[in-house]
Amino acid sequence: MKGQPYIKITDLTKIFSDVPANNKISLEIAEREILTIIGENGAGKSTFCKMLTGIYHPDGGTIEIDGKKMSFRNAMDSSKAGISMVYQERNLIGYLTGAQNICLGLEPKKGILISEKEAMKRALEVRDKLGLTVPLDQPVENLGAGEQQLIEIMRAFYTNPKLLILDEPTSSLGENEIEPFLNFIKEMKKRINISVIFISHKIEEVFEIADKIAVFTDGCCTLLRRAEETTQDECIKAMLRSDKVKPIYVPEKEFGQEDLMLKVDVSDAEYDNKKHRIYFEAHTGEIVGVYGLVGSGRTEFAEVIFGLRQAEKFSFSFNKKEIQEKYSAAEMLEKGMILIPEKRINGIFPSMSITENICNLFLKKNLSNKFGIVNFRKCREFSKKICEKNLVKYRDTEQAISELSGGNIQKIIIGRSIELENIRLLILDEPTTGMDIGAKNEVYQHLRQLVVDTDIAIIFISSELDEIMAVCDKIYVFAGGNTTAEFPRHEFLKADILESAIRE
Amino acid sequence: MKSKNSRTESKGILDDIIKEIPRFFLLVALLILIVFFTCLTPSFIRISNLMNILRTASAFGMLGLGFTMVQATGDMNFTFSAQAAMGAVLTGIFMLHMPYWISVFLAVLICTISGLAPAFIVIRLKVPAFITTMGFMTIYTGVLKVLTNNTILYKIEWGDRYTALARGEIAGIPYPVIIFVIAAAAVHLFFERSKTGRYLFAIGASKTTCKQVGINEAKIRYIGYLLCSALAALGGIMYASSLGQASPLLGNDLTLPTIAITMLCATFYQTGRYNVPGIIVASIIMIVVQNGVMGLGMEAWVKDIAVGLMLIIAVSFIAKTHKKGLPTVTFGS
Repeated sequence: MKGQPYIKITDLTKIFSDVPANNKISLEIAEREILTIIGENGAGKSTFCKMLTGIYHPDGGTIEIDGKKMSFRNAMDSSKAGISMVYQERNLIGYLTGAQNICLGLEPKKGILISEKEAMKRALEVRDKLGLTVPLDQPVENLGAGEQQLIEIMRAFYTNPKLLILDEPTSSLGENEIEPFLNFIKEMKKRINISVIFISHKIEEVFEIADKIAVFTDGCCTLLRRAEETTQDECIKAMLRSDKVKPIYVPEKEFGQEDLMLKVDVSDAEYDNKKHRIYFEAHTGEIVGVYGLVGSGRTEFAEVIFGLRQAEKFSFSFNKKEIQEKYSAAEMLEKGMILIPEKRINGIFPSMSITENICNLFLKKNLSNKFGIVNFRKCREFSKKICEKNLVKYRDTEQAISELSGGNIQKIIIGRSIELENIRLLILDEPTTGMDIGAKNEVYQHLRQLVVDTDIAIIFISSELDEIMAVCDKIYVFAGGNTTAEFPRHEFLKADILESAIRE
Repeated sequence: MKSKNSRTESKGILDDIIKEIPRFFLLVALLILIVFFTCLTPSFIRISNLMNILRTASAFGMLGLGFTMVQATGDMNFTFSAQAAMGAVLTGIFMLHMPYWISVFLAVLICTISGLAPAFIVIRLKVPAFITTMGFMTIYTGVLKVLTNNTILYKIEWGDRYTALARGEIAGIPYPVIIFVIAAAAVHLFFERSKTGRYLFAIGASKTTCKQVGINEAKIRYIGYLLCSALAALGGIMYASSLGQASPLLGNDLTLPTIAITMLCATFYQTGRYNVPGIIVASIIMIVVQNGVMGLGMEAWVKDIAVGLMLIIAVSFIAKTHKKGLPTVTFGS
């Protein structure tokens, strides 16, 4: 029996630096209802939840619970109003028991000391109410990921919430823990009078568990339907965004076997505590896109190829040579591969000058004499050359690199990498984050020019579908750590690519 | 925080016992060292010597208990050694005008309040604790030098009141030992069974978890600093009492052994965490080593090497057995 909407949200808005992270979101959740929110990265899901849990203050709109307008000054207010949230990452104190973690912050006292007996009693009550069997007397660090998550859910229930928000709850679970967990959620709804917001990017999960589905795109709620009144395709369509990237001219190219630079074909590779099935080919003169949502394993894959991460049963061929033994990043660098990391800060020495950042890669080769004495004049000239070649906006080659804008730092990082003598493969991990649209376009043009002028192959990892479709000759889609699809340029279709990313 | 993906299976009682041995190894090491030093100098085992060891160990133990309070929350706190000296010096000065116990009370009170300054700068202004507390250690030592005219404080007027604390005993047990035992029991209960004590450790383990459950991080950390200051003062008073004099530089000899004791404590009983039983055993073992080495007639620097070695062994053990390290002693992954 679905009665009055228990929680009613109207035009909820949150703006960060002139950009609406949440733009007039309106939805209702009834008692005993599971609402799933699905959306790409950056769509505004976690901002929305933070407003419900009192961590952010809304810039517009209202939240009503049981017909009463609510205003949360902090997390305690929201908790008192009956809203509890369980986050994606675990937030437990490892050496404390399940019962102690459940009561953390609100431990029952006997006199001035904590009453462990009473705490255990109350924790057991919560556990029975939820119909679980997780042991509560062991330090939680001894429990499996699924059980730890259940402990956190029990903690959320300790305060008798009426609304439970679960943020990507199955992302930290093992394969065989997911189904039992979903069943538990479905059962829970029947046993207890609770409403649930379930955030997920996995579309099959969404349809398995939802009573109502909301799609968030670019800060707006672009679809709000009861699960039985919509389809997976409709949801995927609602997730697509409008075009913001200028189309770039990318010539039609054929790549032959002789151009093959990198080939990966593994079905059983082990790293990151998971097994991986990956098929990947990159050719000279090609920009290969790697698309996937956050957590789909793209960065980890790049780290394995580049030798930053150890993997078992992983062999591949690079520059026509088979690589099978263990190797380090330094060795891959020697062989002609370089990875430009996701966090720009990992690619530079922030306290050093532009010249020092550029030349550190080259000191041994071109810029010092045979006794190892560095020629500073040569360094400065080289650094000036690189900055100009890559259109970097700077004041002086000796200024601290941290004074430059993110876009310019990125250009320096890319620019110095391609100056390496024998560079054959450039792996770029989210290279345009934090750049304005003008700077992004410059980078795209630059990369396309690079593959024309030189003999390199480029791997372009990104979670922005528009950008990757604009720049690349081919796209591999990653989901759950595996490659799930390959799209040549003439088959680029937003909806299809997005779908491969959300089906695992 | 990691999780196990499979349960370990019990293979019988003998295996359980063997698994437990590493936890109690420090105690075993202590017994081995006592035997070792007794073999080299039979007078080591004399009751008077053992009582001396326990007296000094109790003073260091107080410091260790205090140091742990702030360490548990994830801050390095160097001010404690200057506060120990402060307790000793202030007691000596006040004693010239007031009864002993009132002097002690006032000295401890002032030291406790002195903990507010570094605490404020670290907690409110968010300046890194390492540097802040080191700065205050220097400041407070400087203040003491002014108060004592840069000399070691010793006054005829004290009579034997100053050393009465260290020399006195009940039923053969020195006062300092009794005080330490009571303090250790109280602190152990505080850590294990009080909300504030538990939150001290929770903050060091995971600040985000604490924020989520509504723990008042600032308040708990202030309490940690205050308790540390009080315990440091008491420890300093006990230590100076056995020396019979108060030096503004008293803290110099206290800093490193206390840090070593605190690191060592995490190798015992509840490994990977600061814990009171560990402080007790670690304090005793530290003084046994110092006393034993001195008793062999070796020069003072040998003692320093011994202390340094113990610190390194302790931290290496923790590095090997607990990947994440301890609050304030994190290891790169």
